Amino acid sequence: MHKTNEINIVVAMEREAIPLINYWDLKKNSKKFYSNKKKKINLIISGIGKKRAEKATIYLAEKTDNNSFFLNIGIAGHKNYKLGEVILISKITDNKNKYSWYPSLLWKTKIKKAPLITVIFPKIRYTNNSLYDMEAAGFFKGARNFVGPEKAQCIKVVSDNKDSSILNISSKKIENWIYSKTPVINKLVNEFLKV
Amino acid sequence: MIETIYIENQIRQHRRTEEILSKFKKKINIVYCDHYGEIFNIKSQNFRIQKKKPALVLAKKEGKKLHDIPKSFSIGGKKNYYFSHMLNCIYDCEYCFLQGKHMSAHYLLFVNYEDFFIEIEKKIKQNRFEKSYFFSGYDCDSLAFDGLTNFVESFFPIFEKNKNGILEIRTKSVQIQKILKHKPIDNCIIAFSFTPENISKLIEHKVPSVKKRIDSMKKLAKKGWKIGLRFDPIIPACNFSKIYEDLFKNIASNVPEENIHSISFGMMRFPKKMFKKMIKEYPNKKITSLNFKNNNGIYSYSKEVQKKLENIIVGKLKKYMKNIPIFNCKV
Repeated sequence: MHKTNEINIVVAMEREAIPLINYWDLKKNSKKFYSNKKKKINLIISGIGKKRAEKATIYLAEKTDNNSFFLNIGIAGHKNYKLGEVILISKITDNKNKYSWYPSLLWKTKIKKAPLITVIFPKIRYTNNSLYDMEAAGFFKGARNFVGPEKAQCIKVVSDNKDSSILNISSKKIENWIYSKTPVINKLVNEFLKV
Repeated sequence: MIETIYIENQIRQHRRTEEILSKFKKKINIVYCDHYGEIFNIKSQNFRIQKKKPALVLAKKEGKKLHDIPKSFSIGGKKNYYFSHMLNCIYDCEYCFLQGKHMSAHYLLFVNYEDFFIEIEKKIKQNRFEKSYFFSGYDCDSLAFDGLTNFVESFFPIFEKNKNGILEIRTKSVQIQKILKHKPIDNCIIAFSFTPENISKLIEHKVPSVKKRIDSMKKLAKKGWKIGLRFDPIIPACNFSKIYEDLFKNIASNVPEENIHSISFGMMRFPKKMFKKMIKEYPNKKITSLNFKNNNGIYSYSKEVQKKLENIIVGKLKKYMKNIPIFNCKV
């Protein structure tokens, strides 16, 4: 892990956060805020929805160094992608106002890249080739007040697709998906921190 | 190596977009956008970070395609225009104004060449009693990306049929294969930019060596192409007089004088805002050790230094290339 920058990670649910907290040995600072000062990793559990994600991101930004890196990690649905597949997001669109953010893709990684749409209600039908989530647009709205497109990124793990709807998701499954992808996410985090 | 291509939705189906995409053998990441500005014009971008791995942005150029250039930047003509089918460059010259001009280091390519052709031909018609000069390579290196952009084969026919239009392609590249296959066009000038080899090695990152560029000029001249020599910026360095003299001598002994259309040179110069941005983004630049003065909002060498350098340059050029017109690009 490069020690130069701090990384601020925003996740929506505790179940998504647990494998990351364990992997990076993050200590609880307050109810929803975890960190490992040595590794320079901060993590906040924002709650579900883009407004909460935005608020949590701004909270982290104001609490940490202005050279920090921002990362949103969570689950998302996609028409065809396999459950548990990890995706680096190339474009984030707020479905309500159609505003888009484009994180710079400068990383040495073989991880698949795809666009994502943030919706207010969970998506049951997948109308196009994008991933769907409920937080990323809020996260980007918050983070991009503080950093450029190189330093705000988003990683999603596929939780539902046309063969396995959102109704099949369970807390345990979420934890397992994130847990199995934690080494891959960690590798990418190390790439991010080279910037 | 390009791994990501952003494409404006309006040119998804454009013939040139499809041609460009077909040239990528390896899987690339394609991201669609409504307008290139969503990526290219974002204010908080870091040019230096992006320069490590720029993406390609394919877009449609709207509005004016041709821009007037100051008379003092001419190579003998009265009607002078520049156009930019592309913004940003694969090279990384420490003095390059592009790093202070654009928010992004991505390569932005406008695929609607045909709209450029219309404006160029319209301008040639409008100035039908005199020559119109069109300069390409102000905002990019026109040849460096030719394998991808097909710039040469696309733009040459316009000038083949419009002899009153003069095209200057300015480059530091040695991508001349497509030009060599083409019959020389009398009203096209392939203009090469130089600084002496030891300076180039230090501050013109990724640029082909002086030797390779001189070889390219030699090949083009042999085929009958007109060559332009551009020494802009002139950079004061140790043994200034000798290193520039060696460069001129080297060029003169390889490129016949009758093939050289013109020579131009200019001092390093930046508008204040651009200069400040460059220094901020690239504080370890070697050029910052040069003694810049603020001359009415333009950062350059002092008037005295400029005059001294000009005298040396003109004197040495005349020694080796007697009959070629020399132009000093002054702001």
